[in-house]
Amino acid sequence: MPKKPRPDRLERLLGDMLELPKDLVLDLPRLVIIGQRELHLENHKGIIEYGDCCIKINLARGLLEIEGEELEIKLIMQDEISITGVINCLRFVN
Amino acid sequence: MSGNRWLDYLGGIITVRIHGPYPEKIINMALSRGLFLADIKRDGQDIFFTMRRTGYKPLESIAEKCGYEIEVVKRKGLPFYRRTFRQRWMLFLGALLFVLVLYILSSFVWFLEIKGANTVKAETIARSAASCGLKRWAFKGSLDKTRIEEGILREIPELSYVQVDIKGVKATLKVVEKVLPGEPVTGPCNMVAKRGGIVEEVMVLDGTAAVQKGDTVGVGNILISGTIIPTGEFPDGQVPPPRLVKAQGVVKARVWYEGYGEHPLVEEKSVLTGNKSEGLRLETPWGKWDIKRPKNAFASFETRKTNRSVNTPWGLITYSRETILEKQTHIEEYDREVALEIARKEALANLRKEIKEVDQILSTKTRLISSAGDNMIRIKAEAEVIEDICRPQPLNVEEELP
Repeated sequence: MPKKPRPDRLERLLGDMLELPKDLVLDLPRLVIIGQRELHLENHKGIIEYGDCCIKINLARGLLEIEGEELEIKLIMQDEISITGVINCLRFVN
Repeated sequence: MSGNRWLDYLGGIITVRIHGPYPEKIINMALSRGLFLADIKRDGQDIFFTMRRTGYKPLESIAEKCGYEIEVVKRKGLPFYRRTFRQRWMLFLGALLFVLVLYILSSFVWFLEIKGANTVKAETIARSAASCGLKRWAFKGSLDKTRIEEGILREIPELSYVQVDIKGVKATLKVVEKVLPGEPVTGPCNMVAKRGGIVEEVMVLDGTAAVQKGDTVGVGNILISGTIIPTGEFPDGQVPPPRLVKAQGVVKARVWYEGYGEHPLVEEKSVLTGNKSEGLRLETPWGKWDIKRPKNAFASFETRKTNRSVNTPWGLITYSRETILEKQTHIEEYDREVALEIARKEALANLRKEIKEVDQILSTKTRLISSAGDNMIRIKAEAEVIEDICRPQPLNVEEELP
């Protein structure tokens, strides 16, 4: 198994030992999906592509592709985004 | 855009259209400037979104720098009604004044209602409440319920519980009166007759019997005396003074009660036909007006009036409704036996009301007291009972012992 980069390992270790939330410690996104119609994403870094059938969102590490139909950005703030529509597929791309 | 729609409406919301290639760039740049966007929709090379009015200027500068076309397509919110406010400012001022006056007037007590007062007069309670601050036109904010309740209880000892309830402009005072038991007689007393009758049984526990079986007694006659006169032989011939005691005992006597009932053989009854006519009247300190006059075309009628009055600072305003109901007279004839039965039941019912606590009912009978030619059947019901007729009567010590 390839070794993970050191800072990531240290942060993960500290997070596990001190029981700190991973999205804060490791700068990971937090997703909340309500059925197939609504998605809330916290901790994003901007929008790469916005279309009716595909939205690409930039994350701290990689990006998130959302595929579906009639996709709309309901609300977007500096680190939160709310997407509505018919969500068919979510893909994390490194 | 925040989560609070009211705040956003107060600040003003605009719908903006941005035209240009790669509009995601504009969204990211707006986000980095702290501008929040909502309802983002894409239509080819155009994107539409809503944002706060205050964020338009920075967005405009971003769009100009990046070479995008920007346009406001819709406006919503309070700031965009400024022109309307300026033209119709009196309307809004009037609405504001109305709300203000309503609020001020509802801060006073307009009505005071007292519930639960039977022996204690409502005026007394109202006066006591007024002395504690609760009265008509009192300012609600200055009223302390606990202090008012305690004050009324202190001033009127006949009350055991007071509750002050203020709802809207009406104050309700709920009171509960004390139920005091009859004052027991302490000290020397005689037992006297509370009703007249023939003595059947005498049982003396303390005192001297003044009657015996078979005696006829009237109301107030002494049955058991509380004065005990010493009897027998005494040394040196000196008779000790009489002793006064609290007489106790039971004296049962044969007592008679009566009840009366009557019923006519031919009765005239007035029956309402259902036809009616109404009139409305308004009385104010400035005059009286008949809003509607009743039409009285009935041969026989009865009138009912209801009034509703409101006490205002300018005087009494009364709204009265007069209803004229048509009635017809029906003559009903009763069979003699039926009338007798009704009168007998009425007499027995009245007799039962008289008899309260008796030891034994010896006999009950009814007697027809009306004559044959009378239009009215009159019945008397009599009951012979045995009951304890003793009642304590305090003794005047100075009179009894010289």
